[in-house]
Amino acid sequence: MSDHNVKEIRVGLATCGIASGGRPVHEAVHEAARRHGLHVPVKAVGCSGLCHQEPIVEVVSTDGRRQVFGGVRPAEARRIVRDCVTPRGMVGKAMAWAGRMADLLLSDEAWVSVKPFAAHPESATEAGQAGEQKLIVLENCGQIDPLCIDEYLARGGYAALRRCVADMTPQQVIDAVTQSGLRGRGGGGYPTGLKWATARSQQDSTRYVVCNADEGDPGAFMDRLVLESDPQRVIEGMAIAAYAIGAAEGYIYIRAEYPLAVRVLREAIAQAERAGYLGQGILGTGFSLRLHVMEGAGAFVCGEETALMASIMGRRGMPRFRPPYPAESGLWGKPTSVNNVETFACVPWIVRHGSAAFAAIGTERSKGTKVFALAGRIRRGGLIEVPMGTTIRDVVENIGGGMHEGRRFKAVQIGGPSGGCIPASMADLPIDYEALTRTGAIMGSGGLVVLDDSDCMVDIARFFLEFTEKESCGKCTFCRVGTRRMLDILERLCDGKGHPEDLDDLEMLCDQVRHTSLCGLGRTAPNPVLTTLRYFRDEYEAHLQGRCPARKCKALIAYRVTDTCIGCTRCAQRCPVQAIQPTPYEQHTIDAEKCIRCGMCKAGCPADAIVVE
Amino acid sequence: MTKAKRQPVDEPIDLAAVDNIVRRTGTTADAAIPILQAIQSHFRYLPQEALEHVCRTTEITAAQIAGVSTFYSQFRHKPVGRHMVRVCHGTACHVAGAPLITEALRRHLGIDDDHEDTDADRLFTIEKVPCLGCCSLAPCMTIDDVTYGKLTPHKATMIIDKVRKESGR
Amino acid sequence: MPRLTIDNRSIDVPPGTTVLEAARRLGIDIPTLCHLDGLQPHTSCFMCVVEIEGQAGLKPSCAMPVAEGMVVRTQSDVVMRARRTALELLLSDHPGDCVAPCSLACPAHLKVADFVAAIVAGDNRRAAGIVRRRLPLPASLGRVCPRFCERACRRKELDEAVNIRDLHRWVADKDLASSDPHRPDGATESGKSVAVVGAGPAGLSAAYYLRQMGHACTLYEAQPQAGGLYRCGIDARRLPRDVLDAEIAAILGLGVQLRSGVRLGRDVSLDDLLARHNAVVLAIGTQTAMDQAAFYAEGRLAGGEVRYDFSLLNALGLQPSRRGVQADRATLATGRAGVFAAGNVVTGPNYGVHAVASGRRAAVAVDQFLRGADVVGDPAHVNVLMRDLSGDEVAVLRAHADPSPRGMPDSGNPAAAATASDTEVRAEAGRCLDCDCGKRDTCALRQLAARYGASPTRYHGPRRPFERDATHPDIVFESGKCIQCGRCVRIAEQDRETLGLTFIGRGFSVRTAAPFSSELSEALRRTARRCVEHCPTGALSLKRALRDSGG
Ligand SMILES: Cc1cc2nc3c(=O)[nH]c(=O)nc-3n(C[C@H](O)[C@H](O)[C@H](O)COP(=O)(O)O)c2cc1C
Ligand code: SF4
Ligand code: SF4
Ligand code: FES
Repeated sequence: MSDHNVKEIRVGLATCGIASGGRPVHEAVHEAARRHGLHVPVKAVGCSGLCHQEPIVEVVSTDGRRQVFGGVRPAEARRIVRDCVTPRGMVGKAMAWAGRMADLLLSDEAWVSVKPFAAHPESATEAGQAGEQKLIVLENCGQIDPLCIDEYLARGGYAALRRCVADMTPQQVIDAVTQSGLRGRGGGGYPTGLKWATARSQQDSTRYVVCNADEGDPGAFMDRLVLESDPQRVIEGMAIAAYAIGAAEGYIYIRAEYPLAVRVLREAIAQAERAGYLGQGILGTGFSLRLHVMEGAGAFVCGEETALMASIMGRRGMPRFRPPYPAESGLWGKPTSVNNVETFACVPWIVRHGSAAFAAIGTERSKGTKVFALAGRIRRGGLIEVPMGTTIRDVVENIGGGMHEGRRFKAVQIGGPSGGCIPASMADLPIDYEALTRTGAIMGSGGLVVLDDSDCMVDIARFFLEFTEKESCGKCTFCRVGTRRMLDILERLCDGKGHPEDLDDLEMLCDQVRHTSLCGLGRTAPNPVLTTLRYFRDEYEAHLQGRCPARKCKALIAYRVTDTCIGCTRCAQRCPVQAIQPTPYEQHTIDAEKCIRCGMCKAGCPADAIVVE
Repeated sequence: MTKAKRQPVDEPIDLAAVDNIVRRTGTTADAAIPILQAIQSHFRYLPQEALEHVCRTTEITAAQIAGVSTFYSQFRHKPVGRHMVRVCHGTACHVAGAPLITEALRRHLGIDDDHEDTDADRLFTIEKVPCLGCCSLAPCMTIDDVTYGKLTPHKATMIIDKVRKESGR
Repeated sequence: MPRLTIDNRSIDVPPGTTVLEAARRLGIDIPTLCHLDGLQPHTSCFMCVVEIEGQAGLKPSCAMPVAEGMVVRTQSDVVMRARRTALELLLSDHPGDCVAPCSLACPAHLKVADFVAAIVAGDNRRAAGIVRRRLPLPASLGRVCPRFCERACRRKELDEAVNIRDLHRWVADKDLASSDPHRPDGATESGKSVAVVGAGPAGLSAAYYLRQMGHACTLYEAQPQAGGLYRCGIDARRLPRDVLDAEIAAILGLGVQLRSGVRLGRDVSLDDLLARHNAVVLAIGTQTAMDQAAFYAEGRLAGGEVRYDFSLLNALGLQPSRRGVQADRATLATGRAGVFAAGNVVTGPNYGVHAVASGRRAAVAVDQFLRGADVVGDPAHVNVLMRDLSGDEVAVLRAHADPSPRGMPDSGNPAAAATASDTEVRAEAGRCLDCDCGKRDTCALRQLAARYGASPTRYHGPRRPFERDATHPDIVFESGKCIQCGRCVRIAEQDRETLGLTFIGRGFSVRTAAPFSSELSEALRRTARRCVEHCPTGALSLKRALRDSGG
């Protein structure tokens, strides 16, 4: 009906997109396109990493230009579609305006200005620089329909596998990966090529390849996003690994909390099988690979490779002592290479672009890029991918857009419950396995939570300890009882009931739990405590004296109504324990005895008259 | 897990459904977790009779199934409420106030026994989960399959009321 | 064959050997709790940790395979500290009493639950034997002791304490009156002789136990008769002299020589005694104090009225303390080699039960001294004691006890006490909650805790509840004491029990239990006894009757 230059419209429908209301937006786009006779593909794509902007609608023009709209509501989605087909002249603009007003009147949703901005570093032309990202793992995320293998193929997918099976011996593949300097992205940073070589060198010829998609760190969602947005990349990586180590069977162990990713993955495997990239005689060679998807059942410790294998074998996910390492004796006693999602996702790129290209990125001992789930007190949260060696400050300030108004950058929590808190004063540290380990934190799998001055570091330590204590498998003494006793001390501190000797006791316990636990869970559980003790000891001391400087710890704070109170009684209505008497038009007061510090009053106060002290 | 705490079972457990599941999933020891998952998705919890039936009909031993089904937090041994409320307690949600959300919901639903997570009407079961992966919407929760983000304690309780109204109570 | 070095000694072992096995071949003892030969390593307790050069952290030797050139340290400070911490962590979540609170409260640590159980079983002779292992004068003490034990009795959480004192009096009276009173087994003669100065409760006690250890023993007493303050400080209506005489006669009957009318410092010197004997025990508290005609209340020498004859101590060449003579707390050794002290001379005015306890401890130390062993006194024990019991926990404890109220006539009225019937006595004995741990004397956790100096109160925090499953005919399961070593789980699995045991839950709240809340009698049909034997703690133990019969 009209002239337009739209090639396709993409709507982000990964978990983050759906959670933000992406489905109705997707429907609205569909419907509007039909209504306007705009016959272009409306694609449900994964996530491009801009989770804070979801729901995202992206309009791709025939000339490759891309316009990205964030925070889109259905009404705006309709307008975006209509704008695509309206002529650009004066008349068109006026008509568009009128239409816009009509839409506005028709919709019951508040108008949020939808600003196109640069979603993608490669198209960072419009508003706002997304910072110095480099996309390897995420190169297709948000660009392609994850449920369409052809789109993956169109972007060079499976060329790497083809090259491997056609032109390279397994040993050459391992060498290529070794030379690229790729290290495990699951947290440990073990050289991937070395692991494959170990598995390959075992006598036993029944071998397994396992993809660890358990992603249990609270605050990490890189693997989910990759699997939801570009599953074929991971499958291709696994196929290459299987070829390299000589495995004919593989497992993808994925968190059950990721239903969408599970669905996408299952479908992607079926498509790959149909297209001949999995199954018997792959690409006409003698190489075969069957992949199974195994859903986890809710246990963080199953991210640990020996626990993961126990879980695949139908047992309790309790780690066992290593050696023997899985590469020597894994699933059913057979050599097994366990690698992380992101590790596999790097592999096709390495094969396609060459080891040298990968090794050219990053630092001396940390090569390539790293994906982070950026969250917390920053303006722009989401998934990012940066070259190794990028500084923390770059990530926080340039990519994350810095703190919210009036807030001070305090620390980043990196590596989740196994990692630690790096203070703002060390923000110029490059992201590099060894550099991060020296701070007492770890690279981890990619959780990066930014904290500001309203966050209590003792509470953060307690939070992570509570997590590890609950997730401990309960096998070994130091982790099972030790983390509980550490948590006891932290709870005492947060309750203002600490004893002066608690800090030393805590440090001593941390030290022992770290050195004497069976698996990585126990061995790294003290990290959040040790790093906060190291860099924020003053906060611990304040808690000993019954003060929480960030005003977070319930037992150490009080709510008070200031004289800016307008007497609207809203707080009194909301208080669940009647600690506030409604006194219309007068300043309200809070009965400290009754107050349970739930924050309901403060959140509801229209005059911001309630303070915490 | 003492005898006395065994849940009263309202309806007889449909063991034919369990047989179907076993037929689909397999009878080897490594099928334990998929079997449990399927049983749970059928009954919404793991009735003990069903588990005992699995031991009778597969290679899975009683010790294995009891150990496995209590190890993983996904598995529930008690019937749940009509709606599952999952409050995210990931790092980002924690710093954004998730503890206050959970407390407000429990208070709102009158769940005050620490060992209980379902309200008296058996309409809502509240669960703390470690990260729903929606950190940019912190704090967030899901009720059944719908995600709600950028919550405040008040907003969370309003959402509960809305869902309650929609389900006709 | 890989060659490795353990504690600076090298050894060649076949590949696949664990560090633990290699160390054992060298005779190096590494403690273990979860490991059991013949089962797959479980690596849960972390008692067996060692340091391996060039490797971060400590490694469990039970699972660590040897490697060529490996350098292992099994005794370093870091290792010892880790083992101690492991024990302290385990003990911090160990609801149960190693030893019943009454026994701990008794200064002589009388094994109350044991003798009370023997009464219930109708075996008075055994009861008397158990009592005399700690109380050499049980009939006398049964009349004058102020019942320290009863103050701590757990039964008080329900109603009133068990009438422990009168029970042991009754046991002793009955034994003394029987045709064949209990007589302790004596050891073979050691050829050594000991002088015990003072034949009051402390001296009599020391002599009684020293004789049993095979040492010749002479009691030197200034008074014409033995008995000390029990003879001249206590009203004969409270402590009838025929009872005291009978108990003293039983002690002398073991072959103890009594030389009465001999006063130390006047008739004989310490040097004389040391020349004549291999060791001396000074139990002269009574001797010096008696001159001041002290007055006895409730069996205790009233304080303040006693003036020690410090000049005597000086003359003996002994160091005085504020209360009497200076002696080591554990061994009661004085500053002079071979001279030990016991009773009021060490502690100052105190009760008879303290005196007999002290006499026994001196005997233990003297025996060690005479055998040329390390003089350390009684072996150190670690005692976990439950505090703040919940209602549920009290209910668990009471489940097998007689619910009737405290019934035995009080010996405040000796006539009534003497006439207590067998049924009354047995009913009273049946009120005992039997708080002792079933593995009191064999628990590996407790023994290692003593060895590594681990304190059960080092860490505080929530603990599991005290629970007991006594459904099995032979064994008892107290899950709170379980350390999740998995031995029983693996044994039951290995022996193909239909139900067996498993871990339930995870993390701190993990439990070892039968699947589906089944009863233990169903879960362990074949392996119950083996599980008990290998359970390193009191979690799984034999029922009392089987333990007592040596089952
Ligand atoms: C407690 C714990 C949790 C872990 N969770 C994960 C996880 O969620 N995903 C992951 O890839 N690796 C995880 N790991 C690391 C794995 O054990 C293993 O090192 C990794 O999967 C190896 O893959 P990579 O070499 O590609 O990193 C975890 C380790 C521990 C100790
Ligand atoms: S460190 Fe913790 S999680 Fe790991 S084996 Fe020990 S108890 Fe289990
Ligand atoms: S009950 Fe079983 S798991 Fe527990 S300590 Fe005893 S043998 Fe070990
Ligand atoms: S860990 Fe080796 S004996 Fe327990």
